[in-house]
Amino acid sequence: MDNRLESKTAARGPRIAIIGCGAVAELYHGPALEVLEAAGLARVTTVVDRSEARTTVLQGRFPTAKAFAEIRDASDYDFALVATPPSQHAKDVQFLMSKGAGVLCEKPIATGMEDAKALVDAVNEVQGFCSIGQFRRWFPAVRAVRELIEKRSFGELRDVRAFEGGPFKWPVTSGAIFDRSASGGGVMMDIGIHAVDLFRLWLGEPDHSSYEDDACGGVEINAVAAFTYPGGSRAELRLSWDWGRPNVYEFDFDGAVLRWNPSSATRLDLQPRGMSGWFVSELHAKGPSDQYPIGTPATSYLGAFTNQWIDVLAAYASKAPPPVSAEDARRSLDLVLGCYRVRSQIAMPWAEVAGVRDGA
Amino acid sequence: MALKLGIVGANGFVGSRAVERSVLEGEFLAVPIVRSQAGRVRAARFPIECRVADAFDAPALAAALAGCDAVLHSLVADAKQMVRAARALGEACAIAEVRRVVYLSSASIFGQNPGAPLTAQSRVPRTHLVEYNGAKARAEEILFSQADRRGLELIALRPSVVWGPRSSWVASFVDDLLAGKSYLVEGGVGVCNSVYVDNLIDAVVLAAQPDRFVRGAFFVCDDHPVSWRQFFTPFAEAVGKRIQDVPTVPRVAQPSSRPDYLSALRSSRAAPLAKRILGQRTFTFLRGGRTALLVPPEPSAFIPRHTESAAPTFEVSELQTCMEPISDARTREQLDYQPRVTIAEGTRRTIAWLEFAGYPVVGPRTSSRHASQDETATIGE
Repeated sequence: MDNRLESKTAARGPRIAIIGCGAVAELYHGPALEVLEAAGLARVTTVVDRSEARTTVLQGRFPTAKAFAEIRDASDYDFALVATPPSQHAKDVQFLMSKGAGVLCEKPIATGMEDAKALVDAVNEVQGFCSIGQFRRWFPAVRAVRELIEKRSFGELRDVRAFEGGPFKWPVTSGAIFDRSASGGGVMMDIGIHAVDLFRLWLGEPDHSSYEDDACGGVEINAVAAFTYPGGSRAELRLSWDWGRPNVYEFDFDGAVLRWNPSSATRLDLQPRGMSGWFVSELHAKGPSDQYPIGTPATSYLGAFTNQWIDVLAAYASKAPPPVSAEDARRSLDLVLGCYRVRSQIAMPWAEVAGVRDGA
Repeated sequence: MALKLGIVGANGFVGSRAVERSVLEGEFLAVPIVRSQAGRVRAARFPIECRVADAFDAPALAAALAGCDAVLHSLVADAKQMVRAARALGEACAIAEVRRVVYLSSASIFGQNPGAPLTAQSRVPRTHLVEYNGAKARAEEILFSQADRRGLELIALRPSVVWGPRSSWVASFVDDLLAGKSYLVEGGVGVCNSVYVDNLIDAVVLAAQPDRFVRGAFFVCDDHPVSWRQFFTPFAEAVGKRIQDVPTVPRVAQPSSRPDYLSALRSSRAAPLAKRILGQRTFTFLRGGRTALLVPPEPSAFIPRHTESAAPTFEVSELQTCMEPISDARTREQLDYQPRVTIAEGTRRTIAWLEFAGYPVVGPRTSSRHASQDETATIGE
């Protein structure tokens, strides 16, 4: 077992509060924390949500957890998951820092730079622990791509083209995600924050970006962004909550083309230059959960959440820096907001008003 | 003042386009109504109120319809849900006092291949070979009966093949084509009784006008019928394929009326008794044996990969071998309906959407490529 966790494990791990019991808490953090509980790495003692129905759902998984409607009334926790709407993150993290709790805060860190800065400042002020939930960084495929880029295994990376999304089916329990004041944006803020975070991981900081989307007074459900990097590489990102046919990240190296489907944590397809066919590879990278008897291998979204939790709590226990710092996540948010700042309307040729008449 | 139109099923293909048009063109005021929070997604592009209500819960639906002048019911549902939804709709409209109801029915209530030209005088058959058709017919019948009883002004629109951006007719064909699984039944010479989504919405808006004293059922079509081959050709070309290379498959025979005894037994009330008599193991063995017969084996070095054959369903086969055009003369006469978007223009827009949606559209992608398939390209050409 990881030495860093030994002392906490002896006491059955830190007491966890789940703040915000929506879909991500129910479907991913809940099951991941259940794995950690079984391994003696954490205990969920507190669930917080204004909806009693939602706290009841989480209590179904953690029957001994006490339910609270407000974070201020909650007690008996050392560490908190913040899974409230993004517009509340800064306020919630500020409060938790004042209580001395460690935090794993869901992405995006905030909906605006002012809130993001307030959150970062609150963490720095008390030298607190706050990791941001960019869970895709735990995908073996994501890590392998980073290695291939860094080691130039297939030469220089020229371009990345990503087309991600699909009909929106996330079982949200409120309409907050479609309300710009609560969510900060649409598909670019929801999926784009992950993609932009990965681009930063792989390629660093871009020096130029362009962006267009289809919002017409509401939030965008289709978006296209393009970034250029100091070395000359380019990344193009297309996102959709509407239609999801390609759903692939394609990496154009000097010596090969690599494809990754973001719904797969471990698969990469490879086509060396000059070959007509593709190699299909399944990565066997080990994650931290592999060392625990009830661990979930990082072969799925749930596995990535589980490994994220193990790494986050290990860092917390050993007073190491968080795996994804608030400042790191703030930069990803800055890129998304930068896209919104240079936004133009995407062309929708089928919806042109004049076209209706022209076609008559 | 603009017509306030409640749209039940506002996240679907027709419903979402109706919402989009209402905002972008302002010809009516859409009130999107969806079943779940997630269903708000397409309407979320616009600064309009989207209401969430269970379409099978009449009081909840009535609350969502409050303040609407008329309702468009464009819910996508399975056979059982369709009948339930029709009952709930009638009751909800009565509670909410929304008298004008536009129900999106389907020409399929006459079967996919009715064997005779469909006109306003055609009678809906009493028996149906396809469950969907029967349910759609039953739903329409229930609604007309409710309309009589509750004083609703019901107009049922009966389109056949509704197409356009986000249409499954087009997207599925292109998906299958790219996957090497597309086909044309009997060469695709049958009649595609299409209606472009914007033309259908024109008909909806005309039907929803509260001062229009018409009611009944109306077919809605494009400006002229084309063959399925003609319909699919530009979409195949758009992704760099030739329609000549799409395999022709024979017409599918009417499904056997022989019952599936094991399925019937498993779903019957006698299932627990049968399990007790036969024992769970026997039951599982029978089910496993059947599965083993029906599921292709895993590929290996000695067993070649199973390729899915191009096999249409009976429903699609009937649709593609239908030789009878539908007449929407009564719709044009009584609703003043005119299809504004030609097939050529609709094709151009749909290809533009295919490219937008990430399909590998190749070559010139404007109307120039499809100019040849303009109004003149009718059946038989």
